Amino acid sequence: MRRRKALVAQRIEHARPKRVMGVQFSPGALFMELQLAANQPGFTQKEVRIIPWRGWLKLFYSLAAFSLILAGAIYIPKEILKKRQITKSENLILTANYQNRLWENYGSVFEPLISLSVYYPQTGYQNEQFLLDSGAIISSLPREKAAQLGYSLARLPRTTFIGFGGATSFAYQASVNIMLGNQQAKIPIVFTEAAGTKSILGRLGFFDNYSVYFNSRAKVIEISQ
Amino acid sequence: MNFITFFESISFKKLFGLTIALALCLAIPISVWVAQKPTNITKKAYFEKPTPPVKQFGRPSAGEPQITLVWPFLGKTGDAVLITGINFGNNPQAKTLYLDNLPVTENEIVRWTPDLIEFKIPASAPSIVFETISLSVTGRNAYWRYPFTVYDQTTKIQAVESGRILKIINPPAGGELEIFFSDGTKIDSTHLTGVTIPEGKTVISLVIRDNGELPISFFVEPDEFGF
Repeated sequence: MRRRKALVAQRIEHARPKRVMGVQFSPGALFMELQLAANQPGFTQKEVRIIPWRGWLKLFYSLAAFSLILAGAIYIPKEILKKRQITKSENLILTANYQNRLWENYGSVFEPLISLSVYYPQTGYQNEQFLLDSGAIISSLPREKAAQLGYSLARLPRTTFIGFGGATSFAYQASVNIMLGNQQAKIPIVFTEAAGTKSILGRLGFFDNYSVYFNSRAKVIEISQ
Repeated sequence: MNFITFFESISFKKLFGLTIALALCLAIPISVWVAQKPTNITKKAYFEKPTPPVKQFGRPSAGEPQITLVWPFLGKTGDAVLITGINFGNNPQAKTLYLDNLPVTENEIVRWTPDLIEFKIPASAPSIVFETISLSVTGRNAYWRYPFTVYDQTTKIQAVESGRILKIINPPAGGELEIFFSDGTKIDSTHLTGVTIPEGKTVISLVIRDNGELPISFFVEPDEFGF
């Protein structure tokens, strides 16, 4: 401390003359005046120090490191949780393994097929294979299923749909009860013109109510609430 | 300023240790809190606010409109019906469509292209047999003079076709059946229990009349007539 005071005094000694309240003081005289004033009762001597840039640098470094660690503490668990949620959803209600099909021109390509239990009034729940098709507005069943499901096409609302090639066909609107995992659900469907075609799960009532995740790593289709 | 002097006086080594210690003290409870909190994953895909479709009106065709088929030949209110033909125009503004005297409103016209019109049977349509479907495009008319039947959920009379035999279920006593074919010919029959459809002929319309020769509503199963 003494050494520092001596240094400060030395700096003041060698400094240029200063003008304080209109009076010209030589640095030495100013120092003497200050020392005299300091000896007076009620005067507290305060050390005047020049703050070096190192203090600010340390503060900045400290704050940066602190923020970085805190940000990591929030971000890392979030990322881990996100990955865990994607791979293992708590709301998962159904999984189906990828089913590969060998195509002449394209080789083995998986078919997005899932098997659901559909309620038939005569026989109860029966498994039906559906093709997941997010491009389809509404789910559809071949029209020969209508009678088995207890519907008369003549009594159902008739609409049209435009298929591949722009051909207009008639479709009949109804709804079916299905089992999705352990949950019962009623989804709107249409009975389409083309008999013998695949049953399709489309957007209305299915994709807009359930999350469908194609887990390519696990080769499964996951359907969650 | 004391704060800065503190930082100035402390060594880098101590500062590093203090920062780590303090940050870890806060980071551990924060990590635990974040991990226990239910994570909401939100992904913002491009979303365009849906706008109600606006019907675009186009130009009428140059030639005279002609109807070649109205299919199917019956339906309930709200059911879709297709009119095929030529020179209907590309949804011209000056157009009308009538089931006898019952207008089909703009809202009930689903599509109007030069060779195809799709409309819904008006909600106000009674369960009767309409004799003519007519349309007009900029003052030029086209007609379909085959019976078009509107039925409802209470209709009991059914026309059934199986193996080219057409019969009527719950037929009216003393009634008769008229079958119209695509080649312009027709068959009249009072044998409602079974009428043979000649090979190579395609049914385009049917009408069942009661003993007073008034046409009455009936329904068919679409599969049997190919719609």
